[in-house]
Amino acid sequence: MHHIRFSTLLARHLEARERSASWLARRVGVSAATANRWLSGETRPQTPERVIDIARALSITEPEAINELLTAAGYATSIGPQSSRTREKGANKPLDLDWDISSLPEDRASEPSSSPSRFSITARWANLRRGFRRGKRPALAIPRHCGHAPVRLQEQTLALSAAFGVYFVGLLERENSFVSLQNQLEMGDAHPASTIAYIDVVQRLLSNETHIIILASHGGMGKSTVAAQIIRCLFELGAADVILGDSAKSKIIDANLGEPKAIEPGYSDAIGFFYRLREQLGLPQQTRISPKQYTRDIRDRLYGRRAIIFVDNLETVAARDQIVRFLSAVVSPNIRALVTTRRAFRETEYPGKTALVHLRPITDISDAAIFLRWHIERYRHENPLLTRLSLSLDEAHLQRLIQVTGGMPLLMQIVASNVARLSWSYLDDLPKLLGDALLNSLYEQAWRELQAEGRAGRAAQRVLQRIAHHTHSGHRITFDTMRGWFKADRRLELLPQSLTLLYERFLIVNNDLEQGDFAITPSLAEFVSRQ
Amino acid sequence: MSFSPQEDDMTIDWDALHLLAQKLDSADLTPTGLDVAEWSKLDSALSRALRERDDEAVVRLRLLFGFLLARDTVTGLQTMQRLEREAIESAKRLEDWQNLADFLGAQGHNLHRKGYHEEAIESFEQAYALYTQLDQPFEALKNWFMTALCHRALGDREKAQNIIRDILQNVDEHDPWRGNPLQVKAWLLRDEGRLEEAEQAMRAALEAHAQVADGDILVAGALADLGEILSMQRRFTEAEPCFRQSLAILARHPGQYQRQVARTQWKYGEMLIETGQPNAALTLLAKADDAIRPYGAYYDLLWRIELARALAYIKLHNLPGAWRKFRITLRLRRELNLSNWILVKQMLRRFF
Repeated sequence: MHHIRFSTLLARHLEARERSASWLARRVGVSAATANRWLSGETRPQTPERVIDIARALSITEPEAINELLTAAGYATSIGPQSSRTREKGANKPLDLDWDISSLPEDRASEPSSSPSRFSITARWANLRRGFRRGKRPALAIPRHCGHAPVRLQEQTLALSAAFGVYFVGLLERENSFVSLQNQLEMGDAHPASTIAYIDVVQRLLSNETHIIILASHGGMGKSTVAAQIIRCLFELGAADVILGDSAKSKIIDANLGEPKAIEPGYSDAIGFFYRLREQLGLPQQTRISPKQYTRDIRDRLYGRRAIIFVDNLETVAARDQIVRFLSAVVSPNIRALVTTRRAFRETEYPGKTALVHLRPITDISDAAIFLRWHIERYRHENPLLTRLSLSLDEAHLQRLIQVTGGMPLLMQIVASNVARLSWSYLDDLPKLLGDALLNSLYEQAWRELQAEGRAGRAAQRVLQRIAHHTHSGHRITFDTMRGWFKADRRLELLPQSLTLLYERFLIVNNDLEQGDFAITPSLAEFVSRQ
Repeated sequence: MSFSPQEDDMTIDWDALHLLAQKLDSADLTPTGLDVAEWSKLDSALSRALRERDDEAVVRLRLLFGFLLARDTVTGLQTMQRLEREAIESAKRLEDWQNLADFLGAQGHNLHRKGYHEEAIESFEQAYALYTQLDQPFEALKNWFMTALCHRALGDREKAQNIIRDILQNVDEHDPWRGNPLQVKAWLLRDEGRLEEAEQAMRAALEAHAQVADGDILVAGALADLGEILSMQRRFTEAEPCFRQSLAILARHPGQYQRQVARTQWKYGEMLIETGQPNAALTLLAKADDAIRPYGAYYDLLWRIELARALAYIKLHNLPGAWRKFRITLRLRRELNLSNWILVKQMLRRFF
């Protein structure tokens, strides 16, 4: 009998009603963090009464649907004629999932695992064959909004933040961090180009056709966002349970001196990259070890896990083709790799079971409308001015926005914020640049504007520098953290104004509106590090 | 932290370091709450002290942050390892025998936790000698006791038994510290298959640990061991609550004792294998793995987790999986210079 996870079921109900975890939390009377933990599968409601509250909040009235929720949450059903026996007192209280063995997925083995009678030679042979089989797996039905639920990284958070930065970790752990657009992704170098959805990318990874996905595009196109969505979907489906990898990073700000300080990149060649992987896997390091031994150790350590090896910013590494070749030696049906790069690969440059996916600029008006509406909804709490845009997203304005930004999502977000603050005629004054050149020009302009805003503006600049410095620290930048900074500088009264200035001019991400959890995009961090 | 480019950074800011130590010592701090800028304060201070050959400053830093070395989550981090190493050298140069003895003992503990038992014995023996010179017999005895654990891990059970026997003769019956040698005695009895006696010894250890102030981590460890002994007697319904209680105790110190959490999860996982739940065991062993692998170098526990996974795969008739896990087990043991022949003997003794 197939048991659906409570988290998956809850996500479906929320999706069907276009509601978020925060909304549910408010209706049910729990914290947003608690609701997010339900969605991620980390915990389930502590009592059956809570499950009933959730059903009520979601306007679920059918007994079968309520029973399904109760069953998924681990309780006896108690609604309608199918009511089962009453449990003993206290027996309905679920134990802490961290060590509640009854909640462990007995039916979901990490590798082929059926146990035929040990006396059946035929059955044993069938089992062995299954163990060695590498054939294509049947297509799995993937929910349309797979990846909606945030991933609870727990013990993996520090290691991932150090490797990829808090911005990417925030994408993994935050709900509503992605909007799917119809024409966003394009497969390989095929002509004519075939657009696909991220679900199709996930499907390819799950079907064993592809073990390595290379996401290629210029900066600001949303590679990290798409990568995070794919990873979240894989976690939600139970197809991933561990993330490894690293990002090439070359500079941080020394917070004491306010100066850029070079640090070692996470990796500069293939051996360096695998050194990092071994470190993340707790394997001893050795200098005199063959590449074959390297890959064998990694595969042996990861056997039975469902791993994603994420390689970010591959273009910054000289021996990128070596890394991709080494990855191909490591990957398997249960060890997949996701690579982002700004530099295009030709299809002949990468090994089999690798697929190249380009991120396309937004050229379609309807996609642009969907994207901007999502942006307004996502960021309106931090930047209330964005709501002004809602009523003026007509075809002409959208067309003009696409034209001046080249359809680059990050540029569209930043320009949209400026339009909200000024007016649509702002677009006429934009420099005739595109891509990174325009992005840097906008950052420069915003930085100068901060300078002109006096003490609050200069304080805002320092905040940005500090956030950039903390990008790989694994440390959450909360409101308390910010208050501490401003208090130490004896400028606490400037905090609200400085934050407003930042929200209106830059894309500042805050993953927790109550306590604060701030991050900035990698491009902004790079820009700030140069100031 | 003041953001002031003009700040004089030529002296060590001990006030800031004291504040940092207080913050790091807070009960609810988890590794994800550690700020790289804060670590770099400690790192910078240590670098400055070394550059200026200020051995007293190095020792002072070690004393200030030594509590982090006692908790087993962060000892693998480079900053802490560097601090430990340099503090020992500084104490030697200063001929500060008291601190040197303390630092060597702590180093021994950390090496033992990681699985470098031979190196750990060296540190413990040096600490023992120093404490004896300093006329601190109990401290000396504690370090000598730790060598028993190391000898046992290296397969020299007879030596370990002799040490434990001597120690138990020298420690008062009502001394709560007695729980430590009793626990090791229980392990040795378990190793020999004398499970009823092992259980008795472990229950006595548990009772002694429960009398120690702030001894709940000791209790958690002993509960996991008791669960293991009960499981080996196939008294699974009694064993399971021991594991759960151990994890519940550790949950009160989130992120501080990851190695202990992993250790309990590993033992619990082994019981699940015995009770015909290999998939559940693999899931729990994965959690144990995730609990320790980011903190570096806990090879001793890692190979045990991998070996348990191999056994789970055998139960699942997944021979390729079992082989891979055996292979990585041997790889990790080679790093620790552990005899794989001894492993084979232990496995045979366990199953037959």
